[in-house]
Amino acid sequence: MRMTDYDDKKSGKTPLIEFINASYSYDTEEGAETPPAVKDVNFSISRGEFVAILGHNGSGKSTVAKMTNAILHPTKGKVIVSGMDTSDEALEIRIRQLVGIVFQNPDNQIVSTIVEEDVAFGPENLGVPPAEIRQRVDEALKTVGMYEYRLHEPHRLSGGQKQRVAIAGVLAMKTDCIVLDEPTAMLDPVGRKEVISTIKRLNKELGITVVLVTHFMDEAVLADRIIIMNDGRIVKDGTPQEVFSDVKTIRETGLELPIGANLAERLRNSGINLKKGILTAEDFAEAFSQFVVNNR
Amino acid sequence: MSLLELKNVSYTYSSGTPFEITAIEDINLTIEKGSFVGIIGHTGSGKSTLIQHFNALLKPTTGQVLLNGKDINQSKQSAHEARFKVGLCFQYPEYQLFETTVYRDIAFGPTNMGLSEDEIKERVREAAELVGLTDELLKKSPFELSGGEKRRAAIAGIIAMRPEVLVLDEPTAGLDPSGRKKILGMISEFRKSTNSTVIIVSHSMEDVASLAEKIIVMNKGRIYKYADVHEIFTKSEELAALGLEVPPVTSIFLKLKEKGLDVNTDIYTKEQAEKELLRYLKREGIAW
Repeated sequence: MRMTDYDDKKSGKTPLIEFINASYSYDTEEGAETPPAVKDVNFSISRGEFVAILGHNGSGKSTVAKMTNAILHPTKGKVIVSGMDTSDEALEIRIRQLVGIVFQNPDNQIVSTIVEEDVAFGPENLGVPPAEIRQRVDEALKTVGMYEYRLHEPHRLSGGQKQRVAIAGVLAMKTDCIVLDEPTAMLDPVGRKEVISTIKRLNKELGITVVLVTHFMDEAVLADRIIIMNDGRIVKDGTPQEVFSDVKTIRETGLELPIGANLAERLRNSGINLKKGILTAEDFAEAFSQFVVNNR
Repeated sequence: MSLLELKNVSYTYSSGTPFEITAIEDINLTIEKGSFVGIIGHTGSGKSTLIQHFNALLKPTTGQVLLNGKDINQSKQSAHEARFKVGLCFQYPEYQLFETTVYRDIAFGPTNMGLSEDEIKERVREAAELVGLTDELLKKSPFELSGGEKRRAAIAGIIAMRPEVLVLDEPTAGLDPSGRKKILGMISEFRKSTNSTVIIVSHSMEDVASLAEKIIVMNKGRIYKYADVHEIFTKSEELAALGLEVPPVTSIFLKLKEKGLDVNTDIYTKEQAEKELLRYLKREGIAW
């Protein structure tokens, strides 16, 4: 497991988000103790990182996502965002200015009847002066490629467009970090591509920290780092190459290898050793044709 | 033999108002008995509107829907029968679970069919076994189940009506890889053991390519193409223009071909891929 705290101290980077022995239990109606959804989790995310969180349904990853911006407060331990304790209610608004969340269902996140009003909702609530709101909204819509739709009705947009409007809404709050909880689960192939390329651009070009919770392995390989959750705990934390070379953990946690890694693993079992670190379809095609050239 | 037939079907939402939108237009379609058909198309292409015509949930604005040669919209009675004969499972069906136990939820459909208590019991057991839900789980509240289990329980409720046609809208959306595999395995198993007709709507080209025999491509409310899996997925540029794509495995073989390797590109599953790669190496006399 990666010693993130140690790494951060060593490199002098301050973590943006820190989970310290954090647990979370949902209340039952009777108020009885339920097994915690998140158990004693420790990790930190630095500014500018692109982290994917994987895990099967019910592994605790969405709960972790909701703990990053004080929607849920840890029932044990602490979650610290840029030095602020998320359990301190007085800091809630400041924390949400730093970390914004985009959820799975695009239709549940729309509050206005015009795209630009929807994007303005966040900054308006923060009391940003109108002239600055105008500027922020335009900028955010341009960033996600939805500026020309600013006067459209959100409910008439496609799923991918709606999700990009939701992302713009977070950007307009000038957040340092965007957490996305399965943002593409309900989208068609084009919608998925639109959202994923937007997320990549935010991270690479604007330096925004991205936490992407997903069930799609081909999305996770785009991240700098992958965290795998199982039964409320972190069972793996490393680069995509490190994580997906641990085939045993991937299988045991009900996940699968990305397509390129899957085929490379199948060939390996037949005694064909392609180079290490194959993840994507492109990686595989490159490595296989190289193998053919070398062994012909 | 044709089981389900659509003749010149069009459907217009909010007909006669300024907001009227024609969602599907002039659909002519025959689904053969026992076939496995996939429906693909981008959001808004008319897929959901189309499948709601299969069991009379929507009545065509113009045109006819025939089940076993009879117009299902002829009378209230015929529409009612179509609901049982064509089992329609919506997206995220687990949100529609509502009973106090999983057993009662699965029994809801058969109960509405007016079956005897014994018959209902048998059907619930059979459906639960098919989707892999244990007796223990049947006693629980549906809300205590995991996401994947809930989804399977919801599908069992439809299977328990023993429909002639099972229609599933995005059955794997939002599930993790192992949940997805279970659902797909269950759908294959259902088909094998009952010889029913199955229609699946999906954004996952991989799921569609590995299960279906024929594919309907919807575009702008019309059927763009209705053909064998092979014919659909050999046209990758055409699919891209429609906002669709070939399955990820197929994309690898197209890339290999581009790099000058003489591989078969008619490959849709990882198992097929493994075989084809090994076959290729042997054929080229490449040792390892």
